[in-house]
Amino acid sequence: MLTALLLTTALAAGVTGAWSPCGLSLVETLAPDGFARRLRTSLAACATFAIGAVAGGAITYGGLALVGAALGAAGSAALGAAAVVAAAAAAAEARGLRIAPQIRHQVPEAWRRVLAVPVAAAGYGVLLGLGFTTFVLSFAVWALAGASIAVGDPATGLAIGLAFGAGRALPVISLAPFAGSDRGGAITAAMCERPAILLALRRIDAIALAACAIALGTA
Amino acid sequence: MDLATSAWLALAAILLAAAALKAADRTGTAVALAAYGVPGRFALQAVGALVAVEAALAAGLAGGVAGAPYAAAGVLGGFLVAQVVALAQGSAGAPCGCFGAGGRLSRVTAGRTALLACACAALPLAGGGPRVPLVLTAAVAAAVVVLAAGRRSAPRGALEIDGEGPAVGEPSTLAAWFDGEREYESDSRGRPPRRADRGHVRLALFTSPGCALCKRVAPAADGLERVAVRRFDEVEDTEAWAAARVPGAPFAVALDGDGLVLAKGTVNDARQLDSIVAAARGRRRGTSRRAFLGRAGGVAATAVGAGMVGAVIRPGDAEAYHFCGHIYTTDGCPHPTGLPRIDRRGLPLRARDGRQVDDLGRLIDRFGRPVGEDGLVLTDLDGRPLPAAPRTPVCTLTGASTGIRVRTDGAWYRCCDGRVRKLVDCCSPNRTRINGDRALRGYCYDKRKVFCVMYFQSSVPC
Repeated sequence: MLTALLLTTALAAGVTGAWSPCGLSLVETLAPDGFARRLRTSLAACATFAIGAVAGGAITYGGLALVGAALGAAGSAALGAAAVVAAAAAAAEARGLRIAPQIRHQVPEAWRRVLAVPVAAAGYGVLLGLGFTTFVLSFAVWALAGASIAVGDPATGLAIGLAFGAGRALPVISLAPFAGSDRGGAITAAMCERPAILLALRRIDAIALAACAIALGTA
Repeated sequence: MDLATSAWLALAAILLAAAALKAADRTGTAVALAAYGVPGRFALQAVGALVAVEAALAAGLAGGVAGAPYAAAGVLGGFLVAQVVALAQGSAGAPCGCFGAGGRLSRVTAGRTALLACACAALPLAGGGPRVPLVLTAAVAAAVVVLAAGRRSAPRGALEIDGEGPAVGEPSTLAAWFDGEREYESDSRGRPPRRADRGHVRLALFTSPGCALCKRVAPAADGLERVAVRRFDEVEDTEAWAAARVPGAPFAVALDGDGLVLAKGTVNDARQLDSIVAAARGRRRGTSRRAFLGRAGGVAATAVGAGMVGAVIRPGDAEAYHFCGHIYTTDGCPHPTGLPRIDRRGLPLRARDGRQVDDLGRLIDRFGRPVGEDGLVLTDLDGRPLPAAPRTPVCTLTGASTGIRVRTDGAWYRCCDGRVRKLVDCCSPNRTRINGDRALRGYCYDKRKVFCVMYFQSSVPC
């Protein structure tokens, strides 16, 4: 149950990350009328981006779970602390508070100019999947880090990372091939112009985090 | 986690931070090594070696390697000896190079190094280290250093580009705003400029409403000693902006008492503002420091100890630092209301509130009719609605007015003033930008280059 909740939270947190400056930039970068220039290149770039994102997620959360295992976490104290962090994050998400601490870094824009687009996309995917190298759009990213350490199970950490990476990749690869069309442009514009969409996603993160907090606290 | 494990990890974190900060500011650290007698031609290699050693020690400590504390103590002991020798040679106050280039060499820094060396040597007495796989700690350390090295730090000097702002060495009409009666007029914020005497540098600071960097730079300008500061707002002091050919805010121009331009440039922080004043004072004294720096091709130079910095930075470096993108270094596209804010279709919006405007800069309603601030349709003297004017994409209008082929190409999103902003390039095959400078590729595709820039403001917080 706990694992399923953590995976759901990770997926939701990843999707929320699409609203970051990097996520929005990548939709246009991978678009056929963007830097990819052709649909075939766009699709290849979307594939490498997705692979990179899940790999990045696996590195971060799998690594953190390894650290937790090495430190001998997974005790009731660690799980309790992770539950408190998740509950606090849920409250902050529900209120739509500004993310803190924020990581004010972006993926290097120059990569798309100097590398083949699929190669650059793979690198961008890794950086976005890592979660902590670019702007963070949900407190769940931080809470999941604590949960990964507290659970101390590398397999669970790996699964969280894969779900997070998949969440980060999903909006980008869904929108990029159609970004140049009217409908794609309208969706991207709605993402930018309608704050209610992001707020709704953050509320979903909050619900998932609250459920995680309960599960962690009772594990 | 027990106390001993925490101590091992804490010292590992300190060493990793030192390595990362050195990697992030390699130039500054290389300059700092001069205080320790490292020849300039070896300085960058020495920085690389230091980063590698510190990162390796951090990985070893975090991995609980038995010999790592002693190795760390030995290395830190070596640093301590170097610092003591440098202090004995009178280098107190020079950049320390301990954690990047930020701190200054002093007895306190030497004491801190000694304390860290002792702490490392005593670690095995506290207990065994953490049992984290060494391959994992090494991977984390390497990742941190690589990410830090890839981060482009803020240039220490202002950005000076030929053709942007008044020409250095030439008299400027800006002096009129400082001279005579005007010198005592209130500035656009209602504050009187401080009086200048002949020995003072006069600093014209160009700011813009909604410019977050300006809010950071303005207080720093007010705190400058022996400098007469006059602030020029983009909206309220358009005449001065036009006279100085200012490319964007925040921009500073330093003048002498006769109105001669001593230095100029785009500034982002107090340090860069200092560099303008320092360059102006150096030039007034007839020194050739700025000329030397100019010839040096834009290498970010740092004067050891004095805290004064070079003033010539490559445009690429500055663009990396200018957080809101290159709008401060490349002119915005001509826009009916000033700042080149557009909607998602590239049509003009008024910058300060995002309301739609036509090609004449008039507010319009959803039917394209010109309206006033209150939203009511504008009428002529007979009460008839004023005719609607066209509303053209800003990039297209730029091409039409300049007679060149343009098209909107790529974009990139950045975080500006707490909101995600999309920076959009208006591109052309031209080799020059709209202000006559050499064009850069920017976000343009194929072989096009940036002619001018626009932006689309989102409502996404960041």
